[in-house]
This record gives sequence, structure tokens and C-alpha cells, in this order.
Amino acid sequence: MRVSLENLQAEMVLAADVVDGGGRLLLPNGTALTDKHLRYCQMWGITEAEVIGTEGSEPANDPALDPELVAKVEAALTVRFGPIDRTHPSIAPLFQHCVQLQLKKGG
Amino acid sequence: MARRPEDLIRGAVEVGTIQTMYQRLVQVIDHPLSSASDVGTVIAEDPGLTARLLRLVNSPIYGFPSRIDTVSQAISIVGMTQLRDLAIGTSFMRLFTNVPSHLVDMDSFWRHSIACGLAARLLAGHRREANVERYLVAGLLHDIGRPIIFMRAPLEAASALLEAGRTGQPLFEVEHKVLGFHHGAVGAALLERWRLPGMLVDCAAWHHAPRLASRFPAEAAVIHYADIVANALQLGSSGEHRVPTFDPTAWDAIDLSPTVLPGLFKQLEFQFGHAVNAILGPEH
Repeated sequence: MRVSLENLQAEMVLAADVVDGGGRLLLPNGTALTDKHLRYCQMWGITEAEVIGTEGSEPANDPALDPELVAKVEAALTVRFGPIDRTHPSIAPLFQHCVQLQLKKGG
Repeated sequence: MARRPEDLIRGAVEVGTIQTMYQRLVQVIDHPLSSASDVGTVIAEDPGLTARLLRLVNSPIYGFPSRIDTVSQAISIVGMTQLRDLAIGTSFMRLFTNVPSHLVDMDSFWRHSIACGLAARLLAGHRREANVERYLVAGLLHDIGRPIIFMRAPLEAASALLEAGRTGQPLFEVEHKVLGFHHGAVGAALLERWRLPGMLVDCAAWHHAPRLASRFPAEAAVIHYADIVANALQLGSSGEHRVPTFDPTAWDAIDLSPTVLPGLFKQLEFQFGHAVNAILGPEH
């Protein structure tokens, strides 16, 4: 299963190679992760990895989202972004990231 | 009387020692027989700078497995030109000590500059640029014209801040209306005067309109998008309350797949605190 960096733990075993943005091999498939690996992943900018696991899917970080709160956060951010085209391929992920960030802060 | 950006920078900040150090670094690096330790000797004359550079290269932003204890070690790993750029870029903070604090919080200003620099450096890394450190420096200096405006034209600056807050217009556009030019032109005039590389001048001048950059449009485009990211994530603030206007052609010039972005934002947030500690000092 795919696990994001914050949920990766030592002793998990990789089910696929971990590569950087350019495809350079960083950690091979089958590696049993150590705390040192996890620290390096942070430095290398690795955000997730495929690990062997039977416990089902990754636990969701977010509690059930209150649609009203999401709407409030999105409205406030819409003002901050002003006339910027939020559907542009480079802006849409930025806007999404900001929404998630605000929701984590509790709106 | 109409003012020009050059009028604001005259005598604005005393850069004597930094400029001397920069010129000496350029000379030493350009000399065919110089070595890493010669460059180290020049940098070591400034203990504050040495400490700052070592904090930076030992931070998780670089992620070297063993400790780097000397400037010459840092040079052999980061590169000579790169370390020169970091030396100059991180030396400006202490020059801006008498900026009116009711107009701008300089701590927050430098945080914004660091965030922009880190974002630009990460984008440049994805673009496979040879020297990514100059992007960090370009980000550190992109808004440098703004504290100059706050110092030299405090009345106009205050009215621009008020109007931007009231109308929701981006501050740089209001600056242009009030002064006839915005902080980009002031910053560029300053960096030009200090005889810093053209890439830094272009990035300061054109980070709000990168397609107008005549010499370094792709670099200015990277700073343009990085500035938007830093403002959107609210990592520090240079006085702008809104996300600055976005020019979609900048993204075409950057020429990256948007799929790198979610990871890049996470990496930026991770690196931000470390970079602030390294550049502004551990007490921040």
C-alpha cells in the first residue's frame, strides 16, 4: 500500500523502489526502513512510498470534513487569491494545499 | 517633483563591507590558481557569515550525512560559486535595521524572502539547474526594494499600505500608482548599484512581470511563481496582504509538470523552519 511520509515507520518494508524526481534510485524495493532512512526521505523530498502491508489502507489523517467549514475556508482563500485563475494547472494544487493547511489549523 | 527609483537608493544603506567582500570573492574565484581554502580565508574574516553558512549547509535542506565543520569543506560540497552566492545573499539582513517597524515587520519580511528563495531553489532543482543556490539568493533579494521605500518614502508607503488594504489591490500595483514605480525597480536599481549579477537584478526588477525581463526571463519566471507560493502559504509577509497577480506565461517558461507541486509544497514547509534558523539565527 502507498503510505505518506508522515505515516511511514521504521521496520516497514518497501514494496517498490523509492526514486527521486529524476528517477534516480534512492532505496531499492525490499529495503526494511530504519529511522535513518526516514530522515533521509525527508531531506530528499520523498513524500510517500509503497510498502508491504496487510493492514488495509492508510489511516486517513483528516477527520470527517465539515462541508460548512470547507466552504468557509475556500471563501476566505478565494479573497486572498483575488482574480488569479484557480483552475490553472500550477495554481489549482497550490489552492488545494492552502485549503488543507487552513483546515488542519481548524479553519 | 517626480521621483525616480535611483533617488530612493542614494545613501539608503551602507554596503561598503559586503561589497568589498563580494568583490574579493569574485577576484579569488576568478583567479585560475585559487583553491577552496583561499575562498575560505576571505569568508572566515567574517565570523558571523562563517557561522551562518555552516548552519545552512549542515541543515536538513542539504542533508549531508556527516558534519561540515569548515568553509573549505562546505565549498568542496556545495561549490565555490554557489557558496559565494550564499555568502552575499545572507549578508544583507543586518543592513536593514532602521526600517520603520510600524510599516513592516522586518523579521516577517525576511521570512517571506527566505520562503520565496527556498521555493525558487526547489523549482530550479526540478528544472535540473546547475546552480540552484543563486535562486535562493534571488528569492532572498527579490523584494529588497520594499524596505528602501519604507525607509525613504514612509508617507507614500503608509498611504499605499492603507489603500491596498482598503481596495484589495496588490500592494505593488498601488506602489506604482503612488510613486510612479514599484519596489521591483527600486530593488533592481540597488542591486545594479552594488554591481551584483544581472540574474539577481532581473529577478528583483521583473518578479511581478517576468515576461518583460530582457536577460533572464526564465529565472524571473521562477521567482514570480515562488513569490506567489510564499504568499499563498503565508510563510512570512513583505507587506502584501494578497497573493500577487499571476502571469500564466511564467509557468510555461518554468516548463515543469504540475505533478511535482504537491511534493514541493510539503518539502518547502519542511525546509522553511530550518532555513529561518540558519539564516536569521537560532533565536528565531
